[in-house]
Amino acid sequence: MTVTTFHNPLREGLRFERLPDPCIMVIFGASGDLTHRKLIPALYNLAYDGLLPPGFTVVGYARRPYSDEEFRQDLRRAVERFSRRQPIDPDVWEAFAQGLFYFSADFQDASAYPKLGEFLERLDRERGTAGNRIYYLATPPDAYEVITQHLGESGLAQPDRHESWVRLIVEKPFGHDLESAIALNNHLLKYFREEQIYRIDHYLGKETVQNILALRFANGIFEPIWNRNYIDHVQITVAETIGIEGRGGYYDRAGALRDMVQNHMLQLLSVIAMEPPIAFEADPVRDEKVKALRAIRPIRPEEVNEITVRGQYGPGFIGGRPVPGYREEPRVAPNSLTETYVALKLFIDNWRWADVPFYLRTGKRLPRRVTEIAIQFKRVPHPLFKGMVSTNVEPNWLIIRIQPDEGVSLHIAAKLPGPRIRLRTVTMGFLYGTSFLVQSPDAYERLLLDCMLGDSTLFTRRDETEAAWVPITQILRGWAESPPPEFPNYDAGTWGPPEAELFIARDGRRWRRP
Amino acid sequence: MQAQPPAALPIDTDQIERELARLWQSSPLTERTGDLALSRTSVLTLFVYAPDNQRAEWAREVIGRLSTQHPSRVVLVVANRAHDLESPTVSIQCDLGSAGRYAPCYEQVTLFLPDDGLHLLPSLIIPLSLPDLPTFLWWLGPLPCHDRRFPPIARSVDCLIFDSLESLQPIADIIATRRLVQHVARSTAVSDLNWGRLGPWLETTARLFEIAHWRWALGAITSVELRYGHDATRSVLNPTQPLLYLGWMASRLGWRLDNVEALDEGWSFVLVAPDQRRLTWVLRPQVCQPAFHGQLKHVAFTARDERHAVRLAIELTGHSERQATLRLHVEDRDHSTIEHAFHHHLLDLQRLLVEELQESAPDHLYEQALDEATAAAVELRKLERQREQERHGV
Repeated sequence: MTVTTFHNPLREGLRFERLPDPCIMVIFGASGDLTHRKLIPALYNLAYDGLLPPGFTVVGYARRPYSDEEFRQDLRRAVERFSRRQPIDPDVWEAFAQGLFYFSADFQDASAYPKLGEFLERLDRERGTAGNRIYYLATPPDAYEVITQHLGESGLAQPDRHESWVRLIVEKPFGHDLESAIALNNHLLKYFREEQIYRIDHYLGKETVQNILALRFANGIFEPIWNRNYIDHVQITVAETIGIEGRGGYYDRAGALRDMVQNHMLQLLSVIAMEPPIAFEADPVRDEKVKALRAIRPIRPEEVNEITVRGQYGPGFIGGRPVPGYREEPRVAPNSLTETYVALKLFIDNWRWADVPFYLRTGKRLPRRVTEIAIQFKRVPHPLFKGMVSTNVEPNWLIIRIQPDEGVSLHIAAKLPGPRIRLRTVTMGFLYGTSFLVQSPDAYERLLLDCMLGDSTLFTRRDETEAAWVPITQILRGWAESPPPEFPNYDAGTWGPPEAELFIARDGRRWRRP
Repeated sequence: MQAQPPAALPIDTDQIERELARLWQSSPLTERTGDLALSRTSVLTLFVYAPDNQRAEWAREVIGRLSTQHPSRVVLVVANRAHDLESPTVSIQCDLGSAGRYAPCYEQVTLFLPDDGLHLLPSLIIPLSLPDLPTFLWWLGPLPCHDRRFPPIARSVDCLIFDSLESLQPIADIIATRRLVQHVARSTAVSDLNWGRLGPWLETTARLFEIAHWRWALGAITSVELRYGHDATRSVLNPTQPLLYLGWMASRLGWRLDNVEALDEGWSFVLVAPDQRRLTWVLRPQVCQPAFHGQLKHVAFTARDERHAVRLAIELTGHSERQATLRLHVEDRDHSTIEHAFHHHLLDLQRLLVEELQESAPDHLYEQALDEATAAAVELRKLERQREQERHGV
């Protein structure tokens, strides 16, 4: 939603064609980990790069009794620790810190919200923020409903003047199954309009994810072969070497399917599988992503164990260091049946992708940290060079690497130099880090800026969130009806349970070793 | 008198290409050593012209730092006054210390050119450019925009980068640069690093008038005061940056130059807005450290209408060796003040260069600002001539 009508002739042709309007960002959960690790460092980096508007203001809302000055000092320590830019620039920090304020109150306390409104109005007058607000829910999800209800009932959810705007950023997890996601959406929509709601999935803020759209729709050579006639299958891998990093309480209730697949991985799948949008704008892009998600073949409970593999790590070694098993992690039940690994096979039932399997796998405590999408093309119809290969010539692969070493590579067969015809697979690679002359911004920087600008292209819409919950909920139901798995079933530092290898081998395929 | 034959160069560009190919073949490009692989990606060709060995050394340093950000081929052309020219050198430079599993590499060729061999440059640039990729020429030292051999050189590349801070006769060079820009417009984009340094100033100025409280001020400016750095050890002032800034605002807002007067220190310009409002611009030099010679230091706008009055100021503060901070102050009748600061890389040549290398298309904003700056420079030159004539009693 764009409401700015002021035309500034000085803005034309400048590097940033649009800058956000001056605004106040109210962070609920300002004393929490997300605020310290991600939000404030991202905002500081935007300030450093000159991307924040003058008068930009942050109001931290939390229970802890801080003064503004204590809050600023606390956030300065966070920026010193977590910002990608070090050391802190004292001038930039000083100007940025002048816009940091603290509001101490309980989320549950209805009487605090009118006071918050008065406080924001005072800041509007002092800092020229003109009634523009972003409310950021950086709290545990069980606080979302009460906060938005109080914002709505105290009149803070809608702009109080003609040219101003109010937006709400909601962090994942967005529900824990389809029913709870619908219920949460219905609740939010009582107080905010859909175009005011920005559901954040930080994967979409990553440069390489956006580059998938550029790769597919700005190059003429890929789209004609981007379909079932040329593509054998797609593998999406999100492998982490870390464990649950102190998030045992949350993770033991969520598991890998909810934590990774429902949001990040289905987002990756949707940008790979979507049809070309009619414009690179929020709704056309999201319309096509939703269509792709809705085309995922429904999963019957009795087939869930055929198309999924669950795993949970036991003790093992990562990078030569011993690490505990999942059940030994803090705040995890000693007999936990939560999956830390999941592999699954999905089909997208439409003309483009009919019968092309999409294999997804994600896990914790795997041997290498890597996120990639690998597209395997079909083999040539006639093996002209049979017996002339020096090693196994692979079919063509297009690898889109999200992290680390972001880039794109194409595996092709080439003739070895010499009088004989001998073939070998070689890689043509494009690496972001060695090709472009700038450092990519952090995903939160991009997304926070987009929200301030009112661009929701990289945020998920209501129907998208719900469409992503449909197959996940079907899998959860199928698992609930199956006998409990024998966990742990893979050692930390390995590529997951052996069943995952058999699972893909049954289709005559194998997992890539990224 | 018999004309001297133009200098010739014993440089075999094919041999240079063969040597580069041999170097790539002998490097472990496709083999991983440990966990590291050398990486070759072609993005552009950068030619660097250094008029002397001192600047060539400095250019090598900057190019070395750029290697992590990988322009794929760099050809350094060093003008040499010595008669016996050194042979070209060819190398592949890889940054093994960079993060990740891939070490970015670039090709570096160094050529030596006799100082009377400017006309030979296009014959080197064209064969040594990587095919189908943009070609940039970064010209160190004063731009020879008055030299008739120069336009063919500029036309042989997609983008010419120079720095008007290096100019020895800044007012005359503004006028000559505009002529050059028009002359090569069809083939080549011309970029001035000094215009690049103005980027954050333009950005800050634009956002100053986007704050809801002070939007009215854009149409009610009565005067503007600019201060720019002057290193007292230099005999010539360089007002190119403030004149380009003035040119930018005039071109954006439709202001027309009406009159120029010399002050004891600096100049006063009268401009007329489309609504016939008259505004005064005052440009004054301010003694500064050598690094800030010719750089904008301070811009202050005064705006007034029947109901409001405000003074909006942008100043350069807290500068370190390679970075500086722009700080914005606002004071109005209600004494409300907003401070806003962000980083400015005006002293970081590498950053400026990187930004220029990202864009090979003409910058119309620059061209329009240059048009208006040229109009001001023409008037300043008239004033200078008048002064000269008065001094000589003509």
